[in-house]
Amino acid sequence: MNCHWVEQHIDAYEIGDLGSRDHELLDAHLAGCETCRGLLERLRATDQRLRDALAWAEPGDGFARRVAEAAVHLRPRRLSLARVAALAAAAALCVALLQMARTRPQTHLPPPSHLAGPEEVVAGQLHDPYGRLAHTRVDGHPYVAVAHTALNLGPRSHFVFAQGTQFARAPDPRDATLAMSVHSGTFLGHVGTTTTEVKLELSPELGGAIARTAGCQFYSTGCPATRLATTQSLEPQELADWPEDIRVHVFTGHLAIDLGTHQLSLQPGDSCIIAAGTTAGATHTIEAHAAELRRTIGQATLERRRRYQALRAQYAHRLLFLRSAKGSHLPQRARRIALLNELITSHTQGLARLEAARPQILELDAAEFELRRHEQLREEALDVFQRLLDETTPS
Amino acid sequence: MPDRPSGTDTQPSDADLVVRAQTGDHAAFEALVRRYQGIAVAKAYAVLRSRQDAEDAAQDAFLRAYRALSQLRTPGAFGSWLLRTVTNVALRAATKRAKRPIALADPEAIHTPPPELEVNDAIAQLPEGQQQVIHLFYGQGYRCAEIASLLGLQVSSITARLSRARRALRDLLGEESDRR
Repeated sequence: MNCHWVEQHIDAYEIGDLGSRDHELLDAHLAGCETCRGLLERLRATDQRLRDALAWAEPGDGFARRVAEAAVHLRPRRLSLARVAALAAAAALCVALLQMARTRPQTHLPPPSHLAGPEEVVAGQLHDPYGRLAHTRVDGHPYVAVAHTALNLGPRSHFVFAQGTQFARAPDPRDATLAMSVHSGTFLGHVGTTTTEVKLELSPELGGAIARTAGCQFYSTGCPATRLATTQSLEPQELADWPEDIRVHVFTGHLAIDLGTHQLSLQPGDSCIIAAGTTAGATHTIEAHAAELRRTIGQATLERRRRYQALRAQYAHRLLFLRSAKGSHLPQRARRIALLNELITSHTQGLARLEAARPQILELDAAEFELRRHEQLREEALDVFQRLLDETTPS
Repeated sequence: MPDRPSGTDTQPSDADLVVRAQTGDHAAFEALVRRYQGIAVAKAYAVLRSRQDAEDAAQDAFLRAYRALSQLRTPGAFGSWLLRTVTNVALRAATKRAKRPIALADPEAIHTPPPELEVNDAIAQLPEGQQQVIHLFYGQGYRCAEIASLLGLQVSSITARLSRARRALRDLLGEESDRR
């Protein structure tokens, strides 16, 4: 055993994943090697920081009890026949209202006279797992389409139509990009570029099927019957009522997911997350979207924001220290506290100005959260492969 | 697939608790809240930067999860499902708050920052599966075998996930993991 071996296995040693023989050998090495003991001490210091940070986040004892008591008064949501009927009635009402809205005069955009009539009329509305009308972002901006709203889509635009969307499309005479006029319904999310990655197929029924090429291996969660290398047909309405995100990662081959209102086409390495209760999906192209946002916002602005946040946190720490018993002996305490308060206020104002002026920053935050979800999905997929290896390796 | 124990000797697994909560066992739901309340608050805090707002968002997320619990078809996935809900709730709360005039120098936010703000932020940047394991290992003090049993996964998956998370955290915190 040498220092390099210790470096490779010290994590396993710390988390209790080392066999007893290796554990003893490593103990013996540590007893005689100051460098490796230093490494272990640094790792343990980091572990202690993690414990401190997580201990801070634990709410008081009353929290769980309060939540559980509040839950007693909640009725768990079940999709009863009555609820389906109510949703259908609400959907019919919405469609009727939207049809009426279509006849209203255009207020904020020129009438889409150059556009053909609706290509598709789809009845119904989508709801999220909590019963609210599902809607999300179009290229990052919260948006619910209304009657006769025209959207300009460039070649890198990302779009998905929710069920209930009526639209017409034609080349925009102004800049020759694809233009769409959304007559009613909801315009959801982003699934990839309009040119290569995603084929949209609007169809009136909700439901669909997942098809794969021979040899296609994929992993999914949220839709239990579609785990590795299976094919699953879904009943109409089943996806709309699905309570969880369906998360798919493709390892090999080609995977097409027909979601009724659109089709996702996934290549090896692609991930997609189909939001719970909707038929919207997002592919790995969220990475490109986030990168584009970072370019738009500019490194200098992001750096300034990071600095403001870091400084504000530092001042808050110092303030906490000064107000604590430890800091009480320090000279000029009141003056320091006043100065730190002033600095915090100034940086909070700076941060607020920065964020108010650049809505893309908030959009980037959301995109980065979405990216983390994709990372988690890949992580899970790797775990599945690890598990398969565990199960197939002879012991 | 080998049989896995359902929960540890003293602690029922997530899946057991979810199934019991789905049948109306409020004590089981409370146990789930107790198990995940810390990571839920930490995750909401990473977005909202206010302890009070973070606790409110975590509570809201638990209640939303409870309402939708009967529809959760993979009970073992409760943890990551909940964390996604927390993220969504916190982002919505942040959006709502962004529309309000910002309270400058919010005294609550200033006076009770986490002792390790940087660490909390680093944890929040990990994939949810890794956050969950980090929380159960460091926050709740479970061993890898116990976490595997709570989540219905193989021990090797948990140790692999924990090792990746530790390496990622050291990178994020800019700490040297190699010698010298």
